[in-house]
Amino acid sequence: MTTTTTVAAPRVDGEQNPLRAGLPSSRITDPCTIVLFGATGDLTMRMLMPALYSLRVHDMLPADFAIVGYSRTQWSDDQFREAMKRSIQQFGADVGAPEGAIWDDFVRRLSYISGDFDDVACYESLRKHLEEDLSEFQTRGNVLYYLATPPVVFGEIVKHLDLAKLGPEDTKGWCRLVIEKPFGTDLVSARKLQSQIERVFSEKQIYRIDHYLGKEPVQDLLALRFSNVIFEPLWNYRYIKSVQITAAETVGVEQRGGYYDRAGALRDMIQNHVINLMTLVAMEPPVSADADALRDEKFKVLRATRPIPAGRMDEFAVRGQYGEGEVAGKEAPAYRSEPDVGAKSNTETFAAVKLSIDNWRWGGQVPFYLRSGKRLKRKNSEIAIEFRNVPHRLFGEMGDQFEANSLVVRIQPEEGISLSFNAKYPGQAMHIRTVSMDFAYGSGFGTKGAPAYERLLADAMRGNQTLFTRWDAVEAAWEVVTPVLEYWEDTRAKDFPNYAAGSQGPKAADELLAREGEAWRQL
Amino acid sequence: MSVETIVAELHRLREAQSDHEVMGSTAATSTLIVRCAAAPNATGVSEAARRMAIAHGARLILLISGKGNVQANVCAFCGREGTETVCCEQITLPVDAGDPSAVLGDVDQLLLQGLPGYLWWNGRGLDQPLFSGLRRTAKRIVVDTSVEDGDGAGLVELQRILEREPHARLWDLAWLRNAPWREMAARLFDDPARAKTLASLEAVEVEGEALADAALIAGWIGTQLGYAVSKKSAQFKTPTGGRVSFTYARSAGSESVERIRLRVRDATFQAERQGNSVFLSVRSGGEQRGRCEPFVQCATEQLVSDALFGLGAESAFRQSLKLAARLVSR
Ligand SMILES: NC(=O)c1ccc[n+]([C@@H]2O[C@H](COP(=O)([O-])OP(=O)(O)OC[C@H]3O[C@@H](n4cnc5c(N)ncnc54)[C@H](OP(=O)(O)O)[C@@H]3O)[C@@H](O)[C@H]2O)c1
Repeated sequence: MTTTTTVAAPRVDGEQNPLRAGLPSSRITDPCTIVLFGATGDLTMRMLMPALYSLRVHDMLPADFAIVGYSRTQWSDDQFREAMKRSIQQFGADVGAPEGAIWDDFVRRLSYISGDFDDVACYESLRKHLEEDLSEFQTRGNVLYYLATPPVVFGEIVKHLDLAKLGPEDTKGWCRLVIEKPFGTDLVSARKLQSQIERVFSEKQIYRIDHYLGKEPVQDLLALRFSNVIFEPLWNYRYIKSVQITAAETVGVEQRGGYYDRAGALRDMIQNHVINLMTLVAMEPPVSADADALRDEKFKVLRATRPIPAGRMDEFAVRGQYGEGEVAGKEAPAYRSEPDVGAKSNTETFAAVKLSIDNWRWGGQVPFYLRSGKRLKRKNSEIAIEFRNVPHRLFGEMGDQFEANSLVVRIQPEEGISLSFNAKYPGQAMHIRTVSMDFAYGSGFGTKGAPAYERLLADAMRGNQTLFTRWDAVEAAWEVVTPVLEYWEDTRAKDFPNYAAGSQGPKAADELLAREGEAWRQL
Repeated sequence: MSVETIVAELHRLREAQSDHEVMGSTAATSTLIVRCAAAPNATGVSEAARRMAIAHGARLILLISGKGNVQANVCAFCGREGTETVCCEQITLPVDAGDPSAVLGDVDQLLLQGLPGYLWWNGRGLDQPLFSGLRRTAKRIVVDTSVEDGDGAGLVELQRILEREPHARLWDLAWLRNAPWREMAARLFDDPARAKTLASLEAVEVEGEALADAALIAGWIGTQLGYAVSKKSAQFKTPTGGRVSFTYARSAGSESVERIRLRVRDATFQAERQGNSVFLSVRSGGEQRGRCEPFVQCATEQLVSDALFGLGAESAFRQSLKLAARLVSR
């Protein structure tokens, strides 16, 4: 008779295994335990757990791993496992039903701790879990802490990890900290949070999530800029007239009214996602694809971003709040009638700012228009580079739809790139029309990129910080937006609500561009 | 239908579409030629070919086995390419069983001039003049040696072709499809202690649907371990003069590969397909230790598409094919 026991995966060692030579493998090789703080929350259920399971199904997780959930809700391991199964059933795409051998193997690696984040006993329990994982799942003592909790408890958790000697100084393997956004609510709070964290974790161990950076087109933008010779010579103030970066949503605040009413569009979207995109558009070519080389260049852009002059805020920043309206044929309530939102809320659900970059490439002459809002006409995130017009109209007035070239990088919902240029309309007359060359990533390569959270989780496990925001950039981005935030907090918006749900946004946003003879791209 | 009629029909189609403004854009950046044998999966192949044509902006020439009543026909089909609608032309040409190469002249005239041609040869007959004729028009080619008769003749023929035309950009689906098996076989030996045992490998056994898949896996193992194939028998010769046997067990109707077993002196290493996973195990001294790993396989369409439109040359394939062809050719 034979007995079957389950064994840990051996250490992958390409040098010694002759069969491995030359094989492509995208699998993450370092075993680890992933500790999810906020394991009962929306982010864990909708994004993190489906992403982790998908990584497992697609054979990307290390062969030896374990996942520990930690929240206040009183759950047993089995209840946690059940809830995670439901979350994968509901939100997991491309992974099939959670069942069969792979699921059985995945689920037995899940465990749960219930308690407050300041409960010392819970951290003792966490230590036991980590030790058990080390012996049962051969995690080699590597730990990835993921803070998927409300930001108010980030500092607290880090402090307790340190007190319980569960921080990087005391773990057997590597120890990394993934922090969800927002990192602070303004410059002062961000600095305070940073000082709490840096007492325990070094910058090399901190992974600040901006999930926009995990999206495929963001990296495509780098590929577009730095693997083609045709764009870079034009990528400066001499040929680019303006840049528009849009992150528009059709949804309202959904169940997150309480959080959103304290945040607003500028904090929630512009300070992190949209400004991050701006740095990728504006930066100089990094010396290598190394994480810090790229992040150095991004930071330089923020250093060169001209502060918005105090006293002239309204010329550079516009806010809006949606009133009732109709989105995609359905009635939508006003922001002030959303759950957990104050009836007189002064919070902006739309923000637009105009920034300039004072450096050799941009010369402070190219406006970067950034906008983001909820309950707008169409869900659309894109970067639009508007080029200058030709210096001389050779064909006179005939080309009535003759427009300057534009290059649009679409981030969502359809990822792709289009370049508009002018061509002669067939016929005897010299009519010029604007046409577009379009590339869609999904069908162009017949394959889809990994969802943002999968990519970011995998990168954090690999120790690749390229797509995570470094502290200097977070701080600099807060420096850019904080004056606007303070101004808006000090002066109540008298015209709120000032745009209807389902519209293009407030009129004042149009005026921001109209003053320069420009217009937003239609949503 | 003569080529002139087909060309006139293509022209008429294009005009009709632009009159009705049906088209977003017409794809005309390459020609994709697909040999679609009258196999049970012919419909699947032609549908996959259409999707590939849309994705890569190709005119599609479908060569189907004609039984007298099959007529040439021309049509256009459209599909979404991101936000755009892309339309492609499809020309279906029957291949006369009595004179298969007769269709070559028509194909030549229907290629988009000056643009690359790609060939997905889905069927048997790598030794047919039709295949050699089409090869000349195609920049990249994908064949599938596993659809040949059970004796591995496809592998032998493919090896012969590549010896004559070493620069041909030619891929075998049987090789592409089995990439996950190569990974699984490697995983069995990632532990340095186990890797050492490969020095005492005695037998390679592969079970599956087709000999070609099995022989290519064995050929790859032999390549990685520096083996040659002995002249007299279907056996590997190790660099130290030892012998390693290769056995193929057919399990009809199964997956292309079901199981790989590698016997070393005191143990047996096995990777066995179990639904969406593979069970990797080691049996030694009456005890079996094992673990489940996900089995991630690309769809055929994706593999063909990658090979035709993307992949670079891979020397491991050529080496493995060479050994595989020798293993089956006696
Ligand atoms: N949801 C998203 O789509 C999304 C997107 C981007 C960023 N984020 C960020 O991700 C983080 C989590 O967001 P979320 O939407 O998942 O929030 P959520 O649904 O409110 O979940 C918060 C989690 O933290 C736990 N928690 C809260 N306070 C706690 C305390 N004092 N002690 C112990 N556990 C506590 C909650 O569980 P118990 O009640 O059981 O303790 C829950 O598991 C936030 O920083 C958010 O800004 C979320």
